[in-house]
Amino acid sequence: MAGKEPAVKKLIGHLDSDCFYVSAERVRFRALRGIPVGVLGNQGACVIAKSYELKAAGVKTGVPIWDARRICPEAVFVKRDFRWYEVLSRKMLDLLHEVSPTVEYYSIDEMFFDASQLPRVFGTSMEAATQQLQQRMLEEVGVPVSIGIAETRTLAKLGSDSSKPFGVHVLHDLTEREHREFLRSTPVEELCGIGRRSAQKLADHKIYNCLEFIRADSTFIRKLLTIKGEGLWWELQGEPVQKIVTQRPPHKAISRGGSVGGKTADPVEQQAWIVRNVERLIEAIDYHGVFTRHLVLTLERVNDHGWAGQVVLAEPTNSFKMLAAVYRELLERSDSRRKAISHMHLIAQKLSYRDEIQRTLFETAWVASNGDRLTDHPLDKVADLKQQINQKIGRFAIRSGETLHLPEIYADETNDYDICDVQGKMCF
Amino acid sequence: MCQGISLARCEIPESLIERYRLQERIIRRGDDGGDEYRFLLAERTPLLPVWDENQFVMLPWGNRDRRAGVPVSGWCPQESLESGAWSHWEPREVFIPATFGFDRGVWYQIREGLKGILLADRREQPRVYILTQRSTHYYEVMTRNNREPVMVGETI
Repeated sequence: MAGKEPAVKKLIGHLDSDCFYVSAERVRFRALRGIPVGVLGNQGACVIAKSYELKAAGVKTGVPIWDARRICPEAVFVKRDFRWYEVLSRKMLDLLHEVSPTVEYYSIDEMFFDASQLPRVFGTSMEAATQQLQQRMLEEVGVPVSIGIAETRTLAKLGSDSSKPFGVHVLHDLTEREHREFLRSTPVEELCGIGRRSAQKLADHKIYNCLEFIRADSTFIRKLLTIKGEGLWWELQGEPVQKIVTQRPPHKAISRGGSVGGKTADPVEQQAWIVRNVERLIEAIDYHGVFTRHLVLTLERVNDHGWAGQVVLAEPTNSFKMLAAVYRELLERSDSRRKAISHMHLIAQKLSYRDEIQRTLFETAWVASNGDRLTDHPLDKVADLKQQINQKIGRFAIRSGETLHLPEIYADETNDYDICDVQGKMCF
Repeated sequence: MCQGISLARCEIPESLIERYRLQERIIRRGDDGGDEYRFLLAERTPLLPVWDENQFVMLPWGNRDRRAGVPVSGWCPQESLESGAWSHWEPREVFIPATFGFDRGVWYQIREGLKGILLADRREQPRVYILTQRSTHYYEVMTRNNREPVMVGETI
């Protein structure tokens, strides 16, 4: 009779791409390798990602390009392409699924995974197996990554952070002394969840590094930083509190929007942006299989106060006709016509899963201020056809005629896609 | 307007490097970066690499001499080309390979290259001009220039 196999210790891995957007560009453009590179944001005004060479020159993320070019005149700037970044991100995810049964798609360039089986999969020690995984990522996807392995998510993330760039840090193998030293050398600000304010609170009690953090009493930490802080305390002790989450918890709200390409006071252009964002919002609503009943519009206006308005519908819906009408009405109500707006956000709240809705037997309608009466069309055949064609041919292949007023946006394929359009990840 | 380009070393045939003394143009942006050849309009003898009828050649970039009988510029606005204002010189479209472009202090990536036109001056000396068009919002924000080069297969 075969003896009982020893239980495999549960270990968590954190895989973090090294300067992901730049690395993704380097996969397809070799000339960018080894030189200072900055990836520019939606408007071409700010550096949203940088290579280590650009970082070494003193350019920080968020810096305007005119400052960045002054700090590093030899830098090369690249336009962002979130669609390409998602392609590589999904390849990384697929590869990780090959070596781990449980993977969390945390963000476009970060993944948590169950690392317990890595030595068995690669037939070697944990450290060597992790290095082999790292090498496979580089060879098969082309992106350099750093990986941390530990008993908890928090420690695994600290491990990958501390091994950047292109490093591997297996923390559970450390001796107690090494572990203590590692925690001592890690400032509390490095912890995911400890922002500036929390760090200040801790500093007020002379807690600056992770070793000082775990030496404090857990109830004191809880009092200071709530239950989340206490969770970190346990995680740093090697006691897992945060699990690997393979499915995103249901959304409370879904939002689409952002900049309107600079600023615009043109009512036709404003409306075109509204409709574009309604189409993006419905795409997200459909992806999550929900309906919405509560619609919010927020506007940022140039040299003026922001504006927010809302409409609550009688019935949950995903109807383009209904949502577009409501948001047009909200834009009208905002009195923003002839006022320059710079950003808009369309937020869908009171979400309900489609198979959990009891529809009313009586017709309900939403009446716009001009007297137009709109009834819900959840199975709007035109909208359904539009969705099918766009899924087959590509986003915005068929779109509302109202968006024709944004020719530049649609002529430019990298504008098709924003970072929040990458579905399924846990955080932004 | 694009005031310079650079081209990765691997893009230029070895035979041309000596002929056009391109060694002097080699630059490297980082310790681990590849060699590039840099071509700036501000140089004493500005040149551009050009693919013309399957031939890779280096040609003078635009014209500074008022007596040459061709426009004094480094660029050709696409609108004026289409209006026929350049027809007199019988311009021919050429491809200018480029890895990076340079405009008002900003180096940016170019995927394939730029469109240009080739024409001959009074002394039959060939001259190449970079085709330009109104900048996209993105390009204008990035470079603060309202004219951008016409790129092959992409718009920035």
